[in-house]
Amino acid sequence: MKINRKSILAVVVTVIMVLSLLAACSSQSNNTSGTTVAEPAAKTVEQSTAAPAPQKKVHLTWLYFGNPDEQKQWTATAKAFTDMQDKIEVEYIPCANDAYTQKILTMFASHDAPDTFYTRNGETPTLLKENKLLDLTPFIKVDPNFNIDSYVNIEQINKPFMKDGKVFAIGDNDNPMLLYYNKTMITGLGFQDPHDMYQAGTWTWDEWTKIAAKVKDSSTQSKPIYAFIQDAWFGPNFLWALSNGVGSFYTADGKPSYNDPKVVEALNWIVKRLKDKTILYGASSGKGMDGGQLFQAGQIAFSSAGRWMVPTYKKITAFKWDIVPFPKGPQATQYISYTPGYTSFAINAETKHTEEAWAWFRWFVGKDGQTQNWGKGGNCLPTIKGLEQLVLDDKAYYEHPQTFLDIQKVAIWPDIPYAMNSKEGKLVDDAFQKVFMLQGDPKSTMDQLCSDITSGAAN
Amino acid sequence: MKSAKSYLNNIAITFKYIVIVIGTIVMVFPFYWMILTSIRDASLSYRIPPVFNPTQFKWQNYVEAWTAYPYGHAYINSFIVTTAVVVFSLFTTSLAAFVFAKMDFAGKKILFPMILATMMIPFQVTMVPVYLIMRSMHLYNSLLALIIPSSIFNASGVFLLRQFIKGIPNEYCESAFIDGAGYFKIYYAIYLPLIKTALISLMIFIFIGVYNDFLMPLILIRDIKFYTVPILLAQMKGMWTTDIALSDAAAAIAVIPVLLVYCFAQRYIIEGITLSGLKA
Amino acid sequence: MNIKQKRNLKKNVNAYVLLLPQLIGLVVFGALPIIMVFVISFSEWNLIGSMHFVGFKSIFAELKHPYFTKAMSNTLVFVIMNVPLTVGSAFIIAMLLNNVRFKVLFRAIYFMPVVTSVVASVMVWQWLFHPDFGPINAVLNGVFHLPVKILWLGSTKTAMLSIVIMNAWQTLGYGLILFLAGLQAVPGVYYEAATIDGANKWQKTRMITVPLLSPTTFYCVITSIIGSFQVFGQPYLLTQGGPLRSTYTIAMHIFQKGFTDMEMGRACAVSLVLFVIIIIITGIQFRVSKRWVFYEGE
Repeated sequence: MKINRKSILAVVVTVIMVLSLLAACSSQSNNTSGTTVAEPAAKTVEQSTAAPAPQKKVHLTWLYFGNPDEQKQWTATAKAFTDMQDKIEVEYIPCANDAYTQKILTMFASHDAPDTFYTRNGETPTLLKENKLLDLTPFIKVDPNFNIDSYVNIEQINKPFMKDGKVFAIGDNDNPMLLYYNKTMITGLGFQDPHDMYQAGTWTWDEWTKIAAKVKDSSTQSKPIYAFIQDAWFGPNFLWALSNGVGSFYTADGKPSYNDPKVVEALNWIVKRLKDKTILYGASSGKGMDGGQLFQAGQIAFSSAGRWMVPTYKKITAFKWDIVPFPKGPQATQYISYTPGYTSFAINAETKHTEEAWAWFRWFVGKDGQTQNWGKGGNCLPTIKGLEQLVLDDKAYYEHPQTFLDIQKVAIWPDIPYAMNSKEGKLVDDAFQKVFMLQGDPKSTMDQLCSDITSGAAN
Repeated sequence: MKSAKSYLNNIAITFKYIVIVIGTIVMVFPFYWMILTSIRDASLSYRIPPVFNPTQFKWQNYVEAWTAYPYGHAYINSFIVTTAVVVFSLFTTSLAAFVFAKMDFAGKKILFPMILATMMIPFQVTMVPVYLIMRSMHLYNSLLALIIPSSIFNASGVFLLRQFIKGIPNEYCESAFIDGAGYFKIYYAIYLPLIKTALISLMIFIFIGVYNDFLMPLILIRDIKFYTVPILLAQMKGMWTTDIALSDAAAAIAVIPVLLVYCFAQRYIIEGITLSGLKA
Repeated sequence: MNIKQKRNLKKNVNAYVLLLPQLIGLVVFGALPIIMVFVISFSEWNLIGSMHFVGFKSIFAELKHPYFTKAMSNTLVFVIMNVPLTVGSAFIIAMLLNNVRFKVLFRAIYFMPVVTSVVASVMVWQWLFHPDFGPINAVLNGVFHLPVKILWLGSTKTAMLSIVIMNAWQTLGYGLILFLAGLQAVPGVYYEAATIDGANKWQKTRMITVPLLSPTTFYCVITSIIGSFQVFGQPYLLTQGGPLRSTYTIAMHIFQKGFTDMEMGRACAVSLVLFVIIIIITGIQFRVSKRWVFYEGE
């Protein structure tokens, strides 16, 4: 019997397929990881913009996460920059919030990383360790148009990105958390406006508890049932402790101090609220519900968030709302806030176009870029001084946007050991969750957490 | 005596129907709740006790869910991936099934148990290596990454079709063989038409499996432009924490195609499962 | 080379040519990944840096890590709850549906969740389970007058049970169809003979139906166990493994290690463990089944 002609054809096709696959595989693995040294060349950029426009613009990529609305806004930002000069063309690469860490790390792993991007808690440790962030210091030194001192609270916003006198990224936005409150509901129950108490310095845990108890009492079928949802993530986890005068969860020499008496006092206070059901812990109602949802529906009195909820809450018409810092605990001397996480702008150390990337970077983190990004419908605070009006424009929707600006100056950013070691972070998150689920006594759980961190149990 | 017995019998039968109907309600209720939530304002879903009957028909939710997210795009992606996998996979599995059922060749005794063994190994075990393989073949983050593995690797499909072909008498093969037909011709001219039912069953399994697959696109697709329907839906779950009505409308939109296919092809699904299960 | 050898060779070549696509698939997506799991589990690798071989370090580190043991025990709990519930309810419903009017319609309805995507189902179920706004608690309170407020997904005690309930809803239709087909295949003469011997319904079920259905039961149990060990979508989407890691499963742990922590060595070490478990369980199942499964005509 003869071998079928079709079979021969099939063999040939398959062999070609396999060979081309093999070729594709082998062409990939010859990339050595030599880190490029950035040449301080800001001046060249200035000069060459004056030169006749080149045939083709330099193409830069930019990765940033966002929800669908935000993604439209970032596309507009890239276009705004591309249109205002004729040398650089910026392409925005969209990404969903949840997928960001995985996306950027795999992009680096497969050598198709974007030229510029945001780096957050999740990916920063790996990127710093593998030297993927371009050292910006040479540019900052020679570029007269960039002044690092024009940023608000710079030593906090750049905490992880300044080491050995070098700068690796700039935080172009800030999002300190505070409490949104349902003004109609609270004043309707006969209480003083929390913002007035804050101004008078009497906005304390005790006042908060009084309101919460009354809100809880007034709940019926259609009325609110909880004063507050303790959302199950690290921002709200830490805030009550910080509002009790805790400055950091680590000692000056880097040892964990989650069992500090002030922390334990704060946790004991929350546990009491959880037990009398004025606070509901978000994780104990399952996924798919957070404080934001219920606040919008008028079912809770307070919601904890940064400015990111303003665009959503703007749509509320059923009641009036406003913002106020977290109330002071017994040990606190001042109001405080917490910016949950780093979102800082960085340049890829492997980019082929360092000068162009810096030009885009400087615009992006500067006044023009921040105005473009955080102006209309902004969901965070600009970090460069002189743009306060952008936030104050919120006044059309709630009375005291100034509170954001006040709190920004004293906001604490995450501790380096927490943010830079995701495994340690998980231990901490689990311990707080254990307390909030009422499955561990605050003192002993926090003691255990500190000893677990010290003994390296996370690894 | 007899009437007492039939009386008891009637009670038993009534009880049986009650249990069956309750079970049916349990099965259908989540679908009902999905539709109910999706056609009313989100605020109506925050009532205590919950409202069980439809009081409002806000079809606008569907329009909003469809427009607010690149749903059209995800549908096209899902369509491309499912169609491609169905076509290629049916071709390759039936070829392999034919060979295992009707041909004797060196290595059959090793290869067939190997195919059977891989049936047991879940994708969860191999997801990291498959991701690495896709990356090194430059297929990561492309629709091909979803198409290729399922198209050329489907052990249970090969097994199912082999069972069918084995059941067809050898005489067909032998007479064709005497006529001088090649194996490929015997495969497509004689066996393929005979296993049409099995092919349709398998086709529907593959369709449902690939259309609903969540884990594979989760690890192999990165860009929103390559998202398939389930992965888009999963992402949206995080985005619209504020609007339960919209996310349920989106879920309903995702469920509709597969339920339609199911309605029309129910018979084949049941036949396919029955045969694969009983002959295992 | 004589004619017979030549013919054999041609036949072999022909067979392999036709097999080629699935053969490549078997090698690239079946065998190669397993080999890679073995190799990578002896290394430390974050994808971006270079790969270091560390011997058994990754495997031992995983075996004694609390997250791994938690994931493993959670998965076992899931298997222990899920397999009997799914297979058992499928069996009971099949017995009830066997001789019923509108059987085809009921069967179609019971199977509907099987074809529904997990992602879409999860979106509904998280609301069905909601302690305040969910209909499940409302029915318990309103219809059965049970003054309880079960937290379902929100409590470490009930979260896994909730996932099991949802999973049973989603998968029991599959077993149901197999059992119904099995019941149909039981020859009527057996029942007639039993009736003549004076056996009642319960005796007939126990002595005839159950043994004759044992191959089907066996198949259902195997697929259910293996399916249960892979559970990923429901906990990942419903609870993200919480609260307090009470629904954190082994497949989620692999995903977490590989695609969130970017520790490929550790991820493959866990995959290896899962692989070994599945091999062992399948082996044991086949062994045991030889003793009790009744194959008609053997």
